[in-house]
This record gives sequence, C-alpha cells and structure tokens, in this order.
Amino acid sequence: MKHFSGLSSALAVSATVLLLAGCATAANSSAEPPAAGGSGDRYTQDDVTTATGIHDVTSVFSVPKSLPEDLNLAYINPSLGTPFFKSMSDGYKAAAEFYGVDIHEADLGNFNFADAVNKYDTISVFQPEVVGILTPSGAGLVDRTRADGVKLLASGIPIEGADGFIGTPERETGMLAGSVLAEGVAPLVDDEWADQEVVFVGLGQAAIPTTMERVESGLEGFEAGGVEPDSAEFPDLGKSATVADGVRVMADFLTAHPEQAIAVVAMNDQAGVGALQAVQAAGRQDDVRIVTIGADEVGRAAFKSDDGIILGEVDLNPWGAGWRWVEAALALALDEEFVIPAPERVITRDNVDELYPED
Amino acid sequence: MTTDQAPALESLLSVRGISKAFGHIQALTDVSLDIAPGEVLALLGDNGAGKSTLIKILSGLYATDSGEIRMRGVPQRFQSPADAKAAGIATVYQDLALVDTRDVAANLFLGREYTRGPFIDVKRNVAESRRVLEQLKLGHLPASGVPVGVMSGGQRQAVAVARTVVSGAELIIMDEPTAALGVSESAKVMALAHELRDSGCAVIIISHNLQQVWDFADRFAVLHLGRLAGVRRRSESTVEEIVQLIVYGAAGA
Amino acid sequence: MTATIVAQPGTPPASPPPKPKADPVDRILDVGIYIALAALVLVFSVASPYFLTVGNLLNIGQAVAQTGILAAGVTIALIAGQLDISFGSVIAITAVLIAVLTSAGVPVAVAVLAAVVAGLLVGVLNGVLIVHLNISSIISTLAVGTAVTGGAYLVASGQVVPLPDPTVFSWVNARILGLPVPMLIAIAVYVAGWILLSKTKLGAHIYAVGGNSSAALRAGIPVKRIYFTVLLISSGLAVLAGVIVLGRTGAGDPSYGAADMFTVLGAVLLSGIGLGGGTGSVQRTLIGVLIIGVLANGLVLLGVQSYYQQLLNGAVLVLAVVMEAIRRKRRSR
Repeated sequence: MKHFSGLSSALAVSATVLLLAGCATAANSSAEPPAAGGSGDRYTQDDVTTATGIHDVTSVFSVPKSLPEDLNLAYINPSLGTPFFKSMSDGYKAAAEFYGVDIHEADLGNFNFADAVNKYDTISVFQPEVVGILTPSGAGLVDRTRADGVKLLASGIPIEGADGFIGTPERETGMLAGSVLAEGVAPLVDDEWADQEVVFVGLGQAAIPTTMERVESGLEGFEAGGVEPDSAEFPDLGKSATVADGVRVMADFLTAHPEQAIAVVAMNDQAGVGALQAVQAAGRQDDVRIVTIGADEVGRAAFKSDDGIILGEVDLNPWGAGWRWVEAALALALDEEFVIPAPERVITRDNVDELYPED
Repeated sequence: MTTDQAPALESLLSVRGISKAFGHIQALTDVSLDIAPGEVLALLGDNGAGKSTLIKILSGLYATDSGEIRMRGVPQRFQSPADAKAAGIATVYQDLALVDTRDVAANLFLGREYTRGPFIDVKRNVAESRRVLEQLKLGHLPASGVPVGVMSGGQRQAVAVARTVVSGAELIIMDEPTAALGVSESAKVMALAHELRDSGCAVIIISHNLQQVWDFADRFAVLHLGRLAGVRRRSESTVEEIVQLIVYGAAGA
Repeated sequence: MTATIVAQPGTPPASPPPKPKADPVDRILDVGIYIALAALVLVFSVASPYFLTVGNLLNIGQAVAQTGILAAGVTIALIAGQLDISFGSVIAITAVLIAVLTSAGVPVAVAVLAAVVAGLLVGVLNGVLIVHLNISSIISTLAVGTAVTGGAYLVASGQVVPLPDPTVFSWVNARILGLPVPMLIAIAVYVAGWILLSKTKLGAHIYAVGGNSSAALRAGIPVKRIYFTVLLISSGLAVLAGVIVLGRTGAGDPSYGAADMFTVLGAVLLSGIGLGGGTGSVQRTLIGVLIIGVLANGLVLLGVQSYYQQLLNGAVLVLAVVMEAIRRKRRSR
C-alpha cells in the first residue's frame, strides 16, 4: 500500500474500501447507492451533495421523494455532550428535515448504557418505525423493539439480533489512519528516529471491542504503509475516551518510555488531543506523531494549532454519519437495501481550511 | 463540721465514706450522704468540688476506690450505668439524651417500646406516655406527632425527666437542669422536681447556682474540694450560710 | 420538617403553653416537593399530548423503578445517619457476576446467589469500616464502592458481557396485569420500606440511632447492629436493582451504576431528608424519585436539547441542596 498525500489519494482508497464494504443487509445484492444526477421519484447523490454542502455526504440509499405519512424515526444518542455525537445529532436532524420525516431524540447522558431501554420506552410513545442506538450492550433492546414491532438499526456498534447496522467499518478506518501515520513517520525513521526504538501505540477502550478493532487495524495499516515498529502497545483509555483520559494514559506511557519514538493512532479526537497535550507537557514533541480518527471540532481545533505532531485526522464525518443513519433507517422502514460506506477522507494540514472553512 | 446522719432505715440511698482518686488527684474524700424517698436534695459546690464525680459514681459510670453505696439498705456494686438503672437510679444529663427528631412517646419509650411481634404498639406507647405526662402535670405536652426538637428547653427537660419515671426510677438525678434555661422555665423544672417528690421519688439536683434551687430543695449538700462541707435543711439554714459552705468549705469563716 | 422554637430567657410563661407549630417557610419547604411534582405533571401534560397517557405513565414507572429501589435503600441508611454511596458498584458487580458466571456454564440460581452474597459482602465491608474502624460513611462507602467497581471491571475483563440466555431474565421485561414488573417490585419495596420505618420497632430504632446515636446507645438500643442492618438493606436493594438492569439490558457491563449516583442522590436530597439522620421517609423519597423521573421523561417528549436536560437536572440538585441548607440554618437558629 502506498503512502498517502492528501485528499485525492485518500478518496481513491476509500472508493476501493467502499466496494469491499458491501451490503449492510445481506438479503440481496441489488442495493445501489443513488445514481449521480437525473431526476425522478427518488433523491439522487447530486441532491444530497447539494443539500449537505461542506459535509459532502455520500448517500447510502436513494430515498423516495414521497414517503408514507407519519413515518417517524428515533435515535438514542449515547452522549450529546460529546462533540462527535452532537455533530451526528445535527446531521440526522438535518437529514430528517430534508427528507420530511420526524426524528425524536433521547440522550444517554455520559454513555449511561444501562438507561438505554428506559430511554427507548420513553421515546416509544411516538411509535417510531425505526430506532437507532449506539451501545455495546443492546440485547435487551432487541427484545423490547421486537415486542413493539419497531425496527432496530444499530449505529456504530453492531447489535446481535438487530434489524440492521450502519457504522464505520472499523478495519478500513483503522487501516486508513495507520497508513497516514506511516506516511508521516517513514521519513523520520530514516532520519531523526534512526537511533530510537519505534513503538506503535493504539489508544482504544478495551471494554468496547469496536474501538480496539479500529486501533489494532491502525497497526495493520501502519505496517502496510512500510514502517515496521519495534513493538506495539494498546493502553486502555478506560470507560470513557475523553481528552482527560488521553492525557492520563499518554502521560503514563511517555514516562514509561523515555527513550523511544512513539507513533500513535487514537480511536477518537479526544484521546488524540489528550495525547498531544501530554506530549507537549512532557516536551517530547520530537519523539511523537499522532493520527486521530474523527475530525470533530475538538480535533480540528487542536490540529490547526499544534506544532506538527498530529499528522492527520481520519474524517469520520460525524455529521454525515448522522445523515446517513436517517437514509439507512428509511431504507429499513421501506424494506429496501443500503450500503455501508468506508471513511471518505483524511483531514491534513493542506485541506483542513478548505474542508472546514467555518472553523 | 455538721453532717446530717439520717437513720439508714429511712434512706432510699445511703452513701458511706466513698473516695475516688484519678491518679494523684483526689476527686472525692470520705463522702457520706443519705437521701430519703419524697425528698429533693440540692447538691452544690464550685467547679471541681466533686459534684460530677459523685454523680458519675451514683450513675454507675465510675467505680469507687472505697466506701459503700446502698439502695433501700441493699449494698450495690455498680459495674455499668445499666446496674445503676436496674437499682432504680436514673440520671438526666445536661444533653438530655433525647432524639430531637422524634416525638414525646418515642422518646419516653426509647429502647423499651411496647410491641406486638416486630411491630410497635403505637397506641399503647402514646396512651402510656399521656398517663405519665398527666401524672407529672405535663398534660399540655403533645405525646405524639411533634418532634421534641421543636420544644422549648424546659419542655425538653421535662420529657427527659418523664422518661426516668417511665424507666421506673426511684432516685432521679438531674445534672444542672437549669443551666441553659430562663427564669420561668427553670421554675417549671423545679416544679416538676416537686411533682416527682410528691409521687414518692427522691430527687438530687446538681447546681452551682444557689439562687435557682433555694426555694425548691428540701436540703442542701455542699461539696468543697472533694469533701462534704456540710448538709443543711432549708428550714434550718440561710442562703448566706450555704454560700459560705460553697466558697470556704465551712460556715462562719 | 422541624421548626426551631427555642424559648428566649425571660419569655413570660404562656398559659397554656402554645403547641409548637411549623412556621410558614418550613411548611413551604415541606410541601414544596409535592407542588413541584404536580407542577411538572401539569406543564408536561399541557405541553405534550403523549405525556398523560397510560402507556407513558407506565413507562415512567418502569424507568424510575431502578432509581427508586436504590433511593429507598439509601434513604433507610441515611435515616440511621449513614450515607451509603456504594450502590453503583453493587449494581455493576451484580450484573457482571451473573453474566460472567452464567456464560461460564454456572446455573443461573447459583450465579444469582453469588451476586447476592457479593452484594451483601459490600454491605458488611461498609459496616466494618464505619462501625469498627469509625470511618465516616461517605468515605467508607466511596472507598469500598471504588474497589468493588474495580473488581467488576476485573471480573468482566473490562468488557460488556452478554447474557448467554437473556430469556432467563426476560421476566424483568414482562408485565403483570399490564404493569411492568420492575415497577411492581419498586412498589413492593416502598410498601415494605414504609412499614419497616413507621410500624416496626426496628424502624423506630433506625430513626433513634440516626437522630441521636449516643442517646440510643444509652437507651440500650444495639446501635452497631442497626448500622449493619441498614447497610445490608441498602446493598441488598442495590443487588435487586442490579438484577433488573441486567434483565433490561441483557448484558453485564462494569460501567453500570456509575450514572445512578446523581439521580439517586438527587432524588434522596430532593425529599428534604438532609444528611443529619433521624428524619425522612421513603414516601418523600418516592416523590423525589418521581420528580427526577418525570423530568427526564417529559423533556425527551418535548424534544428539549439534552444540554438543557442536564442543566435542569443540575438545577434541581442545586435546589435540593439549597433547600437543605436553608432547613439546616433554620434548625440551628
């Protein structure tokens, strides 16, 4: 796999990944992303592109222009206090408005997954066709939704027995992050880092397997990118993955590895920004490079102001993820198919202002 | 030095020659005292005179070094407050030991509630409380429904005293009952002491304020530097004499 | 609530002495939570057509059951003067132990028994620290709770452990005569709590110990045994809540219970119980539980941004704490 430099090559790879990702609901393979251009009784990719503006969403389902009356959706957000999920919330609300359906929202606060079924009960009075949630423990919800005849569309983390899943393909996301990291680190390994051991660090949450898959794939992408680290470690961020968690874990890691050069893939921007702060506090700017996954406001802000330690941020486009959840939910409601797209782009120093001019 | 040696047969409590030292400090030396049923005795003395040591011995909190305590002529060896209580001596301390958040009935029967199986027999507790309150002319106090914490200092004192009656005490010791009270409240507490006396109990009131107890006590026992300076009947003594006993340990000094 | 009427020295004797009365401010503090609950119900009923429906009210009942069961235990312990904040950890260890053990092929009954034993051990440990080592309850239960939560993460290897057979606990999601089972359990807990506190000798002693432990001791009440009893009741109810969460979610997650701290303590504080001990009742706690439950439900129905939800929940807590401060100030006057 080649090194990447900026938007165009990232897009090229994600297009490949898109093909690999395949169908979400495997019943048949007739699903197609909306055709570009054209008009008719369904919205096209062009319509979506126009509607989503800078968020530049790749549609996962060509939504009919006339939908059944009273079609409504519900999304149980894991933490609206987290920028990523707030962005996602804005995205699904925008999509619902665009497609002319209602969406009801509940919030688990700070990832209080134990409350998910109660929040579902609350929101069930609206009798939504499809309910979405991100939770590592969704078994109880499967029973509840099934009893009500409501379709459960898992979001981000697959739920066994759910009616569908849409999320980031963790492996492809991690590999993309790893390859961006390898591209930035490769010149250092031949030069400044030549005399140092190189350690790969994946910052994930041991309790949430998808985050571990993401950062472990980061190592895979890193090696595929042509850098062979001397060792790889995956310190646990713990229950949450906040900036504070990133600082804590990375500060300890730096203390334990005073001589080594360190290449980091962080599961989200918060952890990556925390790691950055720990590096700055320890004065280890020369020894560490970081790639984060997410590219939310927190990530982009840090990225724009740091001194070259964060090499790039894989753009999960949370706003777009929210938009696409609505499209997938509509597909599910209409018993049609949708596709899961791979991450679309990497935010780099060259394109960040162009992609996020509002920052 | 005069000591009023009342015949032991009439005595409810009879203390003979008790001494108590804490290390090198001799807190009490050879104190002898009697109190009869239906009598109010004021135990007076300056700070450090030995009042509270004597009271703690009578309450079973301290053991004596020497001497003898008899209740109705029966020698007692108090190992704990429970022993003193069992012998019929109840002490009302200044802190009153009330549960402020509970009502009068709950406080009067604290730890000895009437029950039916695991359940509290609330009706009976309240009825018995009313009876005891009436007996002590405290019928105006609400037996139930009002936490004692909202009552006045004198009323709380009255509740604490009523509890000693519920416990079946014959000798009731009141430790500085009027220390935190105003004049009229103090008078009410003293009136309560008379009710207890009239019902046949003996009452010891500890005080360092002679003015407050002068009109209410039948006799005055004065401690001075750990010794009994004198015991006087009110009818046979004067305020001046008692004050001299308190201050100098002897009259006419 | 208690008013504080202390006679001033020199007050002329009133004849007959006036029966002590609560003054208006205390009265308002006293009935305030009932008014608040009624107002919330009224506002949400007007604002959302979905709120005052049988289905939604049952949803509220179901949703507050877990908080309510925990809050009842915390209330009973707090009346005895002990603030037990280890309940979250008991939920976590209960859910995780049952999930892990049944996944390993242990019979469900044995797994549940193990969880009960573990939960009660937490109560015993709390008791040993508080009663025998004389450490304040908030510190003791915080320490024990933190350790037990760590234990839950260890047992679960930091993972969410799905139940191998969720149908075993599907009774938690069932309804009897149309009423959700957790709600029925919570009702039973509150009736039992009410009887315990207001009708039994043990209840009277719990109030006495919390109101004045040294007076209770002098009155011959086994104070230490009462402390152990209330701590065991509290952790026992947390085990019950843990089983309910396990049945509701179908998985054991060591992070369970962490978020209950604020809702449970919020509900308990709202009741006006105060942290001093000797006062309070499960009935008033139930009102606090319902206020928080109705608020959570109604705000979702109205589609209120969750930032505002958190803000409101925080405001409710602040209000509860301020009310408690006012009460304490008036009491000590």
